[in-house]
Amino acid sequence: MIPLAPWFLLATLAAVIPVVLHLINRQKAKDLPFSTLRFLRISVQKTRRRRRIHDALLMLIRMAVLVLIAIGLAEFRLTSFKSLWGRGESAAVIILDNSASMGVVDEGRVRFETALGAVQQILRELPEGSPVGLILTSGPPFPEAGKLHRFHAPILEILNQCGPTAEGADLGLRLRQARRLLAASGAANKDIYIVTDQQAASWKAALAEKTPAEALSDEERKALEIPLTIVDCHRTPQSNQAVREVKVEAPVPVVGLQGKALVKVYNAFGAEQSRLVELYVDDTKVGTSPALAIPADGEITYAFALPFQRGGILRGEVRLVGEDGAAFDDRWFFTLEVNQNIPIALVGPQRHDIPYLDDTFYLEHALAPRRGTWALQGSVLSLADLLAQPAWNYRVIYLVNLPPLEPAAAERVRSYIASGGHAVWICGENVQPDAYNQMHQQAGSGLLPAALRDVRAATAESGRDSWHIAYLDKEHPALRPFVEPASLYQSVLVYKHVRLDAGPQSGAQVLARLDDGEPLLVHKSFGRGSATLLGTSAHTGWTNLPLRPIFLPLLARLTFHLVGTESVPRGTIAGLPLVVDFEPANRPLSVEIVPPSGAPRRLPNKGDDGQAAPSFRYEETHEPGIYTVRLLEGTMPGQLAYAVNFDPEESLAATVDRQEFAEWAKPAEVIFADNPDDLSEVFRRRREGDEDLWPWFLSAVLLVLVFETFLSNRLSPRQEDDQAAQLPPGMRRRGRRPVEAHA
Amino acid sequence: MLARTERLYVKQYEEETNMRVQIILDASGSMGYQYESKITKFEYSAYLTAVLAYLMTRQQDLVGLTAFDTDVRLDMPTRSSPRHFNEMMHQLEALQPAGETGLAATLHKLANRFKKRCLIVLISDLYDEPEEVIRALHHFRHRRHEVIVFHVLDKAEIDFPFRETVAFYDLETNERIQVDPAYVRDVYLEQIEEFIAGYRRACAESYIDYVLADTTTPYDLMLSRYLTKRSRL
Repeated sequence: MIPLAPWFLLATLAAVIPVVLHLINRQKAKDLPFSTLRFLRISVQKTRRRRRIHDALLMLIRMAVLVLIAIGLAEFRLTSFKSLWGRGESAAVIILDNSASMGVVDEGRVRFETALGAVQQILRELPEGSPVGLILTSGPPFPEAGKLHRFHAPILEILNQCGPTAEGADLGLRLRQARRLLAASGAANKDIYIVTDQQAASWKAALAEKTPAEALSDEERKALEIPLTIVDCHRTPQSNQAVREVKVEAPVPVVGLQGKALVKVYNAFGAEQSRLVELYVDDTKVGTSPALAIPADGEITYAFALPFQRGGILRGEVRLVGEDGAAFDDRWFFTLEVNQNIPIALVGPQRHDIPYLDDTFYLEHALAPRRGTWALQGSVLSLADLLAQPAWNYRVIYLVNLPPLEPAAAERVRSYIASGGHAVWICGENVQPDAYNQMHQQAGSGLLPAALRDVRAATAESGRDSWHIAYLDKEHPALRPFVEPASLYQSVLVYKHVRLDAGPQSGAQVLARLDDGEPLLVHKSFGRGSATLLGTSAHTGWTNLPLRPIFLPLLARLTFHLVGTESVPRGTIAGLPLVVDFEPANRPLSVEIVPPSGAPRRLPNKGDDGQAAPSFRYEETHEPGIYTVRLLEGTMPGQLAYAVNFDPEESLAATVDRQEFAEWAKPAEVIFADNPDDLSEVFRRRREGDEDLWPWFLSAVLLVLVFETFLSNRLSPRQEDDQAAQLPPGMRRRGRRPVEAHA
Repeated sequence: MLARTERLYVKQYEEETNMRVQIILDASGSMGYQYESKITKFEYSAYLTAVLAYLMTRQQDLVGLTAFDTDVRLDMPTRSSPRHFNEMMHQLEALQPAGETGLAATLHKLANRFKKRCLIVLISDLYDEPEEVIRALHHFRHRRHEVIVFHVLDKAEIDFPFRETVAFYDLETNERIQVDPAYVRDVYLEQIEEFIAGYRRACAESYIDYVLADTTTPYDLMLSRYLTKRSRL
């Protein structure tokens, strides 16, 4: 028990005040004559003992009040009762936040340096021989981290090697790890120190989830009571802006075309800031933004034009010009695979001797003109040709008037769609609805966008010779240009078509309908891939569509749209695993990873059965930049590029609310250390506890005062006596014989 | 009358008695007490004496006055003349309360001295040993005197209205005692009540009229008690 303000202990001398006042009042007693003292003498004799006891009691109470007030003002703190006879062995775990936000410069110093200084202080405070562990929140794992050591050397070694990363931190996860570590320790005293900048994002996941107490074992519940010391390294940060996201919009990433790079710049500072942004492609600057005025605690989006000048993997980077409070969030990497051209397969039935009678004739000429440069490269294949090579050689496969596929072929197509490919089914005389539906079901309903009902033809009996297209989905990006004028699509006549069951339950999107409402063109997504079905043929026997002006642009835009939707950005956040999924036909036995810096690493990609694994997982994405993945020993060697960026949450300036945190951490006691450069006060509180006694003293004072008031009132003349004084003697008190005055 | 008229006559006479009344007035120091009242107990008693004496003189009764503290300080024999009354008033006016009380001893002394049967009117605060005082009153009764006791007290002596700590000093002995009324009040009131009740009880047993009065009690009450007593004699 130690007073924080010992000079207030002098105030205990005030305890003599009641004694002095008593003596003064005694001397100042008023002199009054009285007729006789005979009754007073008797009264005094009879009450002397009681009075002395009461006087002494009141005096002691009043002295106690003054002493308690003095002690309360001295801010006594009772630490733990254990501290009265020794604490026993202590074990501690230090959680060191080395997430990206710890790289921010705070008051001229990087937060992580401040944190290292705090950790050194903690280690000095812990006696050599006491178990102590260090847990890093982010970055590459250290073998000696996350273990309890009796000597500090391994921990000092880790401290020498670690630094702030580009990764985020899940402090809740690390706290659970620390509790587990200490739960296994037999030390009498356990402490957890969390050296962090208390960024809200680091606690977000932990605060969102709360394990019910009844779901915990006794050991886990006990571990929850381990006191926490939060060493808060967050000071007043410098102005900081961050590139939080780059989104590449490229409907058709093909050489010669152009896309857009949408850059989101965030301002973590409390005042508007102006920054320039540069766009680099393959380490060459291709654009600089004007000065962007970014609002306080807000963000702004700027669009760069992104020309596709060569085919292959495009390695892009966006940089903020100039310096700010944190360098880690001033760069953002992205990659894009730009095609030299888009390979398309046109798969039809057996070719006809007369070319223009081929089902694929009009398609081939629409999608693959023979003259000039064109982004689409169409290849006319038979089904056997397609099955003989990897389906991924083609970005879109048109399946034109094919008879129902054999199960193996159907499975190949389903797999192609499931892994991101796009199939466009076009009907014709060979399409038998029942057989197609059966094929679709056998392939796990992953082939067609909708079930086929029957074939319908316009005949004289039906009273009409054709239908025309009456509806186009104007919201669809590929169809939007053809909505106006309506005659563009209304002039398309259909004489025969397959009726499609594209009700809402099918999940298919109807892109075009006939004038009687029958769906003609339907689309359905299967993961990253999709299937599209045209209910009529691509030949003039069933429709005049191939002869209409809309045919070529419609097919081209639809194909570009399908290819563009496939162009998902490849990337991940630093610290999160990089997962590469392979299509079944092209699974490499090994891959070579080329990180942004450092030597390439060749890694096997084999499952437990020795066969090539369907996906490859790479955990060591600690460094932001572009990671190249080379597929080796596969059916089709190739390479992919992945961008790894800092965790954008790390640039957010918000810190966790202390009250909310303390509430969340219950039943653990939480001490917040506001001065990471001097933790001596925290150590004292931790060593001696932090039971502030002044509220207890104050409560005691109030209780004693209430008791004193009660006692004083009890001893002073009562109201009933005053009333009784109005009565004649002998009638004042119950039980006494009444005496009538003047009788 | 019989000889002259040969008729029988019964003559009725109303005899006027000249009653002898001796007023014994306590003039000790304790009678000089007053607290928040306009007059002292002695002044109240003196006025009462004057009223009684006036009434008695007008009734042709013989009135005498004896004032005492530890001994007799004034002794006026019983007479009924207006001159005697005037002299009594002069003497009464000159009298001041002082000295200690020797009530019982003085009463014994006076009982031996009053030979003729008379009405003894005792006006006092009776601050002496009650047993001794009662014995002295019995002495009067033994001598076939009739006795009325006017027990005069100040209201403060009956109610003890004090609140703050007070150093009381005795008006007769000048002795001091510091008292915290909060503590002693209950006991004091018990004592004073017992004191009064003792006198009341003892007087009743001895056929002595006892009247308790404080200095605010109207005098007509006292006079009516006196007249009632006199009518019985």
